[in-house]
Amino acid sequence: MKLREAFAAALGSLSAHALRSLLATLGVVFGVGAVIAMLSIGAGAESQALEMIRSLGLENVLVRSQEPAEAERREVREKSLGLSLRDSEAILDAVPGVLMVASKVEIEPYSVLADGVVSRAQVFGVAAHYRQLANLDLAQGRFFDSRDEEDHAQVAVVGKALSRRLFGYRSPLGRTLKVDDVWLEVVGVLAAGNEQESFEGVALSSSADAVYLPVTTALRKFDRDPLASPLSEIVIRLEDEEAGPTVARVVDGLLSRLHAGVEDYRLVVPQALLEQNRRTQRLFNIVMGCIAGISLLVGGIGIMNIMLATVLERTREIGIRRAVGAKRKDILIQFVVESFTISLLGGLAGVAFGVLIAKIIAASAQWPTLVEPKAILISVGVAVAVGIASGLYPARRAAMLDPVESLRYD
Amino acid sequence: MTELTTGSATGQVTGPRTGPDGPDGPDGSDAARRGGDPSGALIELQEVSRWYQVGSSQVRALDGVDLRIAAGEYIAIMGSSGSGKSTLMNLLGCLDTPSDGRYLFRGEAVEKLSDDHLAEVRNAEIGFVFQSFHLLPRGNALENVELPLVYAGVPVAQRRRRARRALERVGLGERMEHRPSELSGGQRQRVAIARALINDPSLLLADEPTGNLDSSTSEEIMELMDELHRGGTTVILVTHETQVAAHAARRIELLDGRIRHDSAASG
Repeated sequence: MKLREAFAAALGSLSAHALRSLLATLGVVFGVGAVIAMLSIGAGAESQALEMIRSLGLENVLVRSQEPAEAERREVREKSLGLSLRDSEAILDAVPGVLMVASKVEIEPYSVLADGVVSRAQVFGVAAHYRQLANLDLAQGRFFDSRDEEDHAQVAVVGKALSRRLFGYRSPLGRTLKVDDVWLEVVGVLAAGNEQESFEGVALSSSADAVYLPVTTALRKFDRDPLASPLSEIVIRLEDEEAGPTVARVVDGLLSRLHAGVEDYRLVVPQALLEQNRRTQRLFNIVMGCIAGISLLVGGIGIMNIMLATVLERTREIGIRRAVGAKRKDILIQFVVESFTISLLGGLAGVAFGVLIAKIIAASAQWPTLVEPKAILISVGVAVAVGIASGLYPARRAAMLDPVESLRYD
Repeated sequence: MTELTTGSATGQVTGPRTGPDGPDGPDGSDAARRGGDPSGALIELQEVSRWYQVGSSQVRALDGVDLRIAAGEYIAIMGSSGSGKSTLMNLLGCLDTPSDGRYLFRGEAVEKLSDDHLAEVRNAEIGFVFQSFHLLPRGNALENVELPLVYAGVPVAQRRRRARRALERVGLGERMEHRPSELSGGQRQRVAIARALINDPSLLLADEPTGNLDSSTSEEIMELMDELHRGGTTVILVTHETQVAAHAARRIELLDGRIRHDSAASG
């Protein structure tokens, strides 16, 4: 008997017991559905994570200031002043493999206003080449340069969303805004960037609501808590993307000496974050694989159960087929094809179910989900393999039945 | 040892080729095969026994049966239940193999055939008709009739054509698309007969073909059997009804696993 005919016959015999076939496939439907839903959540989370890590810059290493606890602040500051321009110069001079260094200071403004509109905003003083290091794209105008930096120029580049809030749809270039009591002239507007605020405990700067001004201006014109560290972040651009962890170790050693062993800074290596993310993802995939494996195993047991019942119920049919010339192989194929068909149909229904769940989750929990073709292929493939495997034993039992006995069976 | 040897099937002189002529060994069996064939016997049983193990005791369903059947014969195998006639039919139909003795079908030793080979013999050479019809409930008449051709690997179009012809031959040209549940008993048995005939078998084995039918339908089915026999098919009926057996030219009676009477041997 040809396989195509066996397949058609299997569909026929499955539709003859529609409810039972449906119940037999449910295990596989839910198994595959769960696998696809979970994989798509995992893939969505991963792609989001990768995007965020990229926004830190894979070719960068970041040094972030870590404010000591209130109680020991004074004591700490007697030993170390915190992250400062001195550190940033030392890193550029002494650490091999460093291409550029950009300092960044965050100002916590009590007011940001322009044209009488008051808005909430993040204000950063940054070095001129920070734009390259943080991959900031300009929509309009220019970024301030090293001359502005030397001159302590009162200029600013603003994020897109903030520009809209403060200036509406008019061009903000050449207009002024006031941060605390310092007037700044807008020279550029940033393109829309990533909106996420933090990833795995690492704060990401969202550029949409930001105001950037030269770091020198920020340090000179704004009053800062004398006990706070002068800089909030130093971005280090590497010569070699792969060297992140090595450079980070050297920087750590250097800063440790400069800060007299006080840990008032923290190193962030996007490269390492990426690696860590991959490890997390791998672990997630393994756990997922086990859960999926168990649910598909349960599905397989369901199929085997139904197939054993089917073989028993159709003993006479098997006898008839054997009497008119079916070989054992023919009977074996017939039942294996039948369980294959059950699992294939269940797998396909499971794909639909899983995609639906992924969509529902994406819509209701606001989680990003991503249904990858790989996930569909793997889950259906495993389901079909489970179907065939769990059909083999019942089919073999059917094939080994004695024709005389099975003809007599009622 | 059997007392009864059936002798020749159609009266031709062939000495009983029984006796212990070295049951094993390829030489001996080849000689026996060549010796059994020239007479043109379709079937030759030599001291065939079939026993079953039931618990610790052995049940002898057939006990040293010798039998020759020529092509084209019309035979009724009779006997009460437990006489071994079903066992004999299963053996003749290659559904089962003897525990001891030799069974030559067209000169070929059946007991030496593999399971696959037996399936091929059933498929190509033997048509079965059963008391309870044994049709597949889900298939219609056509699908039931073409089943043997499915396993013979005949292409679909040809299968359909031959199944139609076989159904027309048994007078069911009008009900080809009906399922067994939509057919009367007599019609079902006609479908079964069409299925048995579709491969032009050299042997038609009917096990109580009228057992589940009323008397007038039985008569119709038996007329169909007669007709098939007249057309040259070898027909073996297994029955306990004398009216059915009366249709056959030769009657073999079984008792306790042995042949008690063979009309061909006695006259």
